[in-house]
Amino acid sequence: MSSNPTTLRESFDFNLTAGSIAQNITIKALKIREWVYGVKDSPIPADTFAATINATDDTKQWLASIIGAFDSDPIYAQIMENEREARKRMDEQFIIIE
Amino acid sequence: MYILDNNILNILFYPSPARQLVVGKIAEKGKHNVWLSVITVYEKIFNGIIPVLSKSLNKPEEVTHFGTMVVLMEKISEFQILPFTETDYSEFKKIYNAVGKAALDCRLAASAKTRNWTVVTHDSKDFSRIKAKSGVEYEDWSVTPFS
Repeated sequence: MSSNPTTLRESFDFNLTAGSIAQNITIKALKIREWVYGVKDSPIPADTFAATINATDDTKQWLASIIGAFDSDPIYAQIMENEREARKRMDEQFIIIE
Repeated sequence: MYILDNNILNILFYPSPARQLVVGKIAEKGKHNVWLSVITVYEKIFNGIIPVLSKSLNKPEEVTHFGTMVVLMEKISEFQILPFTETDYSEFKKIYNAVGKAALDCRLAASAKTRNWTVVTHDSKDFSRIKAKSGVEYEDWSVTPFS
């Protein structure tokens, strides 16, 4: 994979100094893993994954920490994805409340 | 007094570079001044973990998932839980009808407005709209003041 570090960071809205929404960054990190490896559920060692990405060291470190944590307990990512989907469904079902 | 939105809880509960910022802010404000709405508990339990757990019932994974549920409930129970009252519901209707989206956030905003409290959220997109329609104040504890 070739990827400009700045583009990678900007395209996924990484913002290490300001902090990020854990919900979004985690899902994005998992999407990146899926994109890179073409697999969704197979755990990839976090350091292997981070090394694959042509990114700056702090991005790699951050990705490794996030993905490592979620590989060890992937249910959390699913919980957050469920919450996100539920919010989306609610927004699609807006009705005026009398 | 402050009400934590779900995205702030996710920063607290799961790995995030911003976790220490939120932990520090809760300590600064005093944990007794920080509440979780029952609406957020609903979101965490019924929208978040129950669908995962339901899919794994009668499979070996259910053991892990029940364990995760225990951990989640322990984390939630570290906070004071704010009820959702009839007064809150009346205010929710006004806010939600004006905003037109983000029903759960509008309920948090209603609870904050009826008590003159502040919502803590990282979702400035929805809450700036909610503030414009309802006047409810919000703060983001997951960012540094200078960022």
